[in-house]
Amino acid sequence: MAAYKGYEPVIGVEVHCELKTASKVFCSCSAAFGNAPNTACCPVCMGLPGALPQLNAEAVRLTIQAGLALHCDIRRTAWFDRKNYFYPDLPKGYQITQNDTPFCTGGYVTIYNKEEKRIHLQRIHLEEDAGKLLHRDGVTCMDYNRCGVGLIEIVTEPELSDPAEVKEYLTGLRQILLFAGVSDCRMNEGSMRCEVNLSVRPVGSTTRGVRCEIKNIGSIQFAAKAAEEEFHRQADILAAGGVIEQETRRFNENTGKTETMRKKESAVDYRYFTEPNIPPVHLSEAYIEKIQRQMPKSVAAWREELHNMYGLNAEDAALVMQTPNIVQFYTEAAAKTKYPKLAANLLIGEVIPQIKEGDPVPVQAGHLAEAADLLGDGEVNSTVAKQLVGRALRGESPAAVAKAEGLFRIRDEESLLPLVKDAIAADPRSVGDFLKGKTAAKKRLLGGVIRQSGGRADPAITEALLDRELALLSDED
Amino acid sequence: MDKSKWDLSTIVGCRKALQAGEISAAELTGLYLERIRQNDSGLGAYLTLCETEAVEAAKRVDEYLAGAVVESNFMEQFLLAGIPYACKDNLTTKGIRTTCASRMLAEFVPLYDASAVERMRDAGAVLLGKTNMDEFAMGSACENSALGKTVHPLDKTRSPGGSSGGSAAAVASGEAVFALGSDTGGSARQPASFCGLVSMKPTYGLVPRYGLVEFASSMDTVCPMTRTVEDNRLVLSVLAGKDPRDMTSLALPEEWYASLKKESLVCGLRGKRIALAADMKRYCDRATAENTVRAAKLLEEAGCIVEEVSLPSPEHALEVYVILTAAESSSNLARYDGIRYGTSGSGDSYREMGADARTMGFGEEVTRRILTGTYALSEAHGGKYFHKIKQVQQNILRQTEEILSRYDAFLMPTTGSTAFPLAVGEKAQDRYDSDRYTVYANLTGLPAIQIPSGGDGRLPTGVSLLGRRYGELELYRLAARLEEMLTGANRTEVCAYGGI
Repeated sequence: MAAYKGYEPVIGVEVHCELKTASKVFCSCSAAFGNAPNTACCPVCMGLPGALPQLNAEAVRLTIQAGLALHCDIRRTAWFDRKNYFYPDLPKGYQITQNDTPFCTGGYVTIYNKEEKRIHLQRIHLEEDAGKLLHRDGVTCMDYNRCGVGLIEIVTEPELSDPAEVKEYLTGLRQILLFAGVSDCRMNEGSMRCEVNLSVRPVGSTTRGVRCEIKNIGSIQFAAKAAEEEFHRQADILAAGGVIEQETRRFNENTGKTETMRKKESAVDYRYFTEPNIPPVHLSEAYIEKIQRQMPKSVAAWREELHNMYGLNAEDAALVMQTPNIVQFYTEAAAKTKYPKLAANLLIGEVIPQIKEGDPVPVQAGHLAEAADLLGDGEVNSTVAKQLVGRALRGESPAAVAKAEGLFRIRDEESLLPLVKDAIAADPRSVGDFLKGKTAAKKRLLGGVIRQSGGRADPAITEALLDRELALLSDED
Repeated sequence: MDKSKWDLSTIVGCRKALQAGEISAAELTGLYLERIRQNDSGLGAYLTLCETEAVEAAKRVDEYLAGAVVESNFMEQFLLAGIPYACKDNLTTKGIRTTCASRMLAEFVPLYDASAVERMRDAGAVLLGKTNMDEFAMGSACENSALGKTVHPLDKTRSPGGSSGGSAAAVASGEAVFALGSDTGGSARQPASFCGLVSMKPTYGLVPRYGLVEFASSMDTVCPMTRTVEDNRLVLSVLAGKDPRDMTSLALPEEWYASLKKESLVCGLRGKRIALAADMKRYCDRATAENTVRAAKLLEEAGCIVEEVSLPSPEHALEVYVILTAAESSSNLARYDGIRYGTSGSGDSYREMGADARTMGFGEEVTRRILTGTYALSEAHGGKYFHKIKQVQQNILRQTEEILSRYDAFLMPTTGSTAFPLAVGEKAQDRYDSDRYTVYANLTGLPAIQIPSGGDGRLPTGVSLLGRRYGELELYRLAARLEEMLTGANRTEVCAYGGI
């Protein structure tokens, strides 16, 4: 629980996720991102007279899949409603959504903010996305490609009590949806968007303050930031004796502040009523069971496997499990190496930062395993291992590169002894110190050898040789 | 050809002549186009003529008929081959403007055919043109058209009815063999009654609505408007059947469609139970009530058991209909903002542009219904009006189904009067009254057929049979028998005009 000026926040989060269907939710147009403007449109999604919606069964399936992944109750009979409002990105003048009968209710996401906490969900419903408006040079351009793309809206109970929990919740939710194969959850492409509802109250109170809604949040980090800013803004106003006005605000990424979008006076009356063009949808027990059986492996199951089979701790497991692609890749590599933990470290440190959101892992699993084996067996040091992974990103085999470029550790006496002797000859002061009983001086000599070898000298063998040579010197005295 | 030998005013007659090789499809279409040229300037049934397309379509039919590709069952396969028809201007036609008789869509050329239009073409029918109507099908007199005036074929001072007034006038005056109309609260049956035609409002979902420009989606239906019951059945058998593009359209068993298409309409009526609407004097003029009673007596003579039954919730049905359709239409017509298509407005913001386009584009009645519907749906009143109204609708459905569990059909006047005079500053409320009987079929989704019941000496009257869900064939049988019995003495007076 966060507290500021004697106030605490009460936070609810709404997330919109575009479903990973090939076509839109009420017509057969492509739902893909990035098509040339207005090339993925038809009479249905453009709302032309007489064109009627056809419900995409795959969109329903994915909605149920999301519900099951989030432990929701699935409604057996549901229908659609019209939400009426005028906006140029909404060709029909209404959005087809589910007001009265969301497909999923209840459910939760477990987060870890110092301790385990369940964030409960109110509902998940299926609806259509609107088009996109591009404002430039005083002109508004309309792109209707996104119009009619299937969207689920996931609404929490207002029970987050710390802006940090917003981040935890969104990260956890995103991971679950990704692993359930429901959405690709790309915030940068708008396939995952979130709104934060926030009010504040005196610490310890059970009252509810006036709520503000923050839209236009572009990333999970910004969501947490927006929640924190809004919390402080409201607390500051109340602490100064002011009152909070109910309003819709937006988050400005440049200033890091929230700002007014519209006041309550201009709140819209959506005139909801049942969509007459889509008959009620009945979901059978068998249908839901089938989806349950075919669910991809859950986040919890993956976490357990990473712990039990590869010994990864929670923190590493979380990093490896950023996307299903990555964890899939990791288990492939981990199965090929004697050192799965090292493979995880190399993956986390060297590969994951190079992966663009949603892209496949740009390394062969075998190459990562090779690098982990070379490192684990002491054939190369960790610096070289990292370099080798870097080369693997370009498709090169770590073992082959190490061999061709002589990057293996130097472990034979023949090569090491001259280096040790050189170091002793080059640093008489350290030798003197050592002989006078300052054992720390040996570390300086050892460092010298390793530096000389370009970091490749095996530290253990080198130290043994150094001990032997220094012992000889001491005998000479 | 010896025209007196062939009846070219009905589908059945035209088919015989075409099959016998007495006339070509091109000649037949030519005759109807000529009739339109001579007659329509004084009638105003059509908003748009598709002469070139019609001539080409007819030629294609002739090529099929003459060519080697013709198989002996060609006419069986193509039930409407070469038959010229008219289409209400709220069914989309690819490449041909579809206006809904609104300034808003005066220049709108759709990229797609309505499902019904597609089925007509696939069956070989020849589209002559698009007919006038009340704007967006809102009205009962064809007077709410922004694009033209249609008069009654028998009396130019009267209305052909509405909203499918153009379609009714076209068929009644021999400017088309049949027509497609639409019916949300009586919009096909009432003009059919005014003009002495047959019109079936099918079970909701039987005919796909794809391409039918929406008025009130939960009640809109596409309807055949014909001169005879048999013609009507032919057209409906082509229109019926699921289209995946309309999720509310039905997929019935194959046998159902086969019997609708093929089974004889001639059958005994002994023991059939008919409910006759009670209290007609309250809602009808004398001729209408008398002719309905006579129809009931004829059915009795044919062996039916007829009993008087009160209409379900007569004090509420019309109000429920008015509010539900207004509510749905306020949402359905929200798409017309003039941004992507349609009359475009000007202004400094989307709001201003949209408001300007809608102010210019919509007529008075459409505006009134949008406002009424918006009010009925608004959150402040939603619980109070809309949901209560939905409950009353369910009530009416239960009551009607209860009646139809005891009776095979419910006989009632189609509308309370003969064609009314063209309005001079009349109140909208007066016009809604003419839907009193017809709205039941729409509120319940049940089928109902209108057939001419005689006349008042000058103008036709009509009766309707409301039937059970998917009971179209049963209704056609009752209607065919009634038609046959009424023909002798009275039908001549009704159909004394118009035929080719």
